[in-house]
Amino acid sequence: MSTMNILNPTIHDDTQRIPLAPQLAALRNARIAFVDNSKVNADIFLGRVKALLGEKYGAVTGNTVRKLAPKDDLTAADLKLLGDYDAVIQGFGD
Amino acid sequence: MSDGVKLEQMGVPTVTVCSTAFAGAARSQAAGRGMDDLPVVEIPHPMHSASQQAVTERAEKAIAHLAAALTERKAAVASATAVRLPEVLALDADPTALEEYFFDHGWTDGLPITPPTRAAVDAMLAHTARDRNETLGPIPPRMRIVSLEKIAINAVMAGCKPEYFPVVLAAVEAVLDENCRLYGIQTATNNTTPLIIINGPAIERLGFNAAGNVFGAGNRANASVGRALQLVLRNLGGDVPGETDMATHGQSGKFTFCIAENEADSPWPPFHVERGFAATDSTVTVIGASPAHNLFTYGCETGAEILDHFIGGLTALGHNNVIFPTGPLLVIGPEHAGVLARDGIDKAAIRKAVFERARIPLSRFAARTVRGLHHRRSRWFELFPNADHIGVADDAAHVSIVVAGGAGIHSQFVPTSFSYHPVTRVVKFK
Repeated sequence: MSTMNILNPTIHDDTQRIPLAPQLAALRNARIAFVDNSKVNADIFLGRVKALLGEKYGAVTGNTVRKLAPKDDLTAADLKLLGDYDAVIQGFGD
Repeated sequence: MSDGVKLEQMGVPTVTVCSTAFAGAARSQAAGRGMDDLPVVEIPHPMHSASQQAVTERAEKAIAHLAAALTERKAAVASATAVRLPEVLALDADPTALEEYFFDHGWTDGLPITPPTRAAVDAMLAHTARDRNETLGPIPPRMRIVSLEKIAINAVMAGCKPEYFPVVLAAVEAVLDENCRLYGIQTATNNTTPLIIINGPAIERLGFNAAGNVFGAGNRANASVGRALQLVLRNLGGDVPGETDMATHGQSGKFTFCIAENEADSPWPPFHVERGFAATDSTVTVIGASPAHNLFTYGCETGAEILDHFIGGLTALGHNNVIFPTGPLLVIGPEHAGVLARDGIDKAAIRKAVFERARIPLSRFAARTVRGLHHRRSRWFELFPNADHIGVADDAAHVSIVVAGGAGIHSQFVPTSFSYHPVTRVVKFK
């Protein structure tokens, strides 16, 4: 069999793994914020989640940042606001 | 997913809710950013059309999983890594076997490729003064940094002549501009993909087609330059249908989507000159675009009648320029351009007419859509606080106009999306 040398058209993923943030010790009294990516029904879903986190888990629920468009990145101001919370729940991909 | 990674890096544990249809793509995007274990809680698909009661019930079922994702994080397990292939592959030289190797590895768009030999890639790189090891990127959705050599490899595969390479490079750089919004384009269910528009001396120099069948087949420059960009986005950016490219239907522009402006037959200044470039500059402009919608002006004799048909074509429900504030693109056929110019209607007048008249009554939309429009097109409602209609552009200047095509009473409405506005780059020939 004769061979031909071909250059590889792809890139091997060598992405360095970034560790996750530490888990919360508990949800009770944890301050939680939300990101609504403006997909239809995301507001209803997150609204119910917000209520349940307070009622069932004793979390302290805070701001909901609503994006103008689903694929937009959070702004620097949004990240600063969310950075003051203990955790964030964002949704949703649909 | 980008936001989730950023928040986690800031020390804020974050959970992302994703419907089952897109959870895999979400995880792949997160992995491209270094967090393949970014917590994702899955909910049933679809959510968009679910009733309010169903959405509420799904939130109630998901709450325990959301709580666990914040309080019971498992130690990351190293995921299986793909086998690293060598940079030079010694493959069976039999043409059929060679093609099958590329198909088997998912390195094509479904069509055969030109084998990227060292000689062919070197010939491609010889048409730029830039170093082959210079890098561009990150290319979404896998956020990879790529060398010019890797881009050249894919340009060879696409069937580009070596002299096309500066155009390919300009196109890659243009789509990576923040204003093109490539991440959104590449990961959406929408059928958007970057459209490339060529202007300037490069058209004649490299033999791009700006006339009949400008969106169609038969021209090597149009076909291969557009294809080169798509192969770069697939093989280097990692945008793979069903894995990260979640388009509901996609479009044939994902094979190739490249046109040139018919500057010779246009009565107006070229697109790139309007955008501030010299007529002698060769440029590439990109914008997120859907397939063109034909505007067939049967029976129209005057410029005003032609413009009426344009406006009518823009006021259908469901096209992307209702939701996205990008501003529509009109690709006007030379015959239409000639009649419009004859009747004193220039590009400025067309833009003004589109802005002022291409408006859809809000009464045509469902209440939930109107609420969504108030959010997604908030700038429109700032301009017109009491508007009972929605326009297809927030400003006349946002309407893009290019003259292209051959004989015939047709023009094209190209719905645009995701991009903030067209992005133009000068082509740098060696």
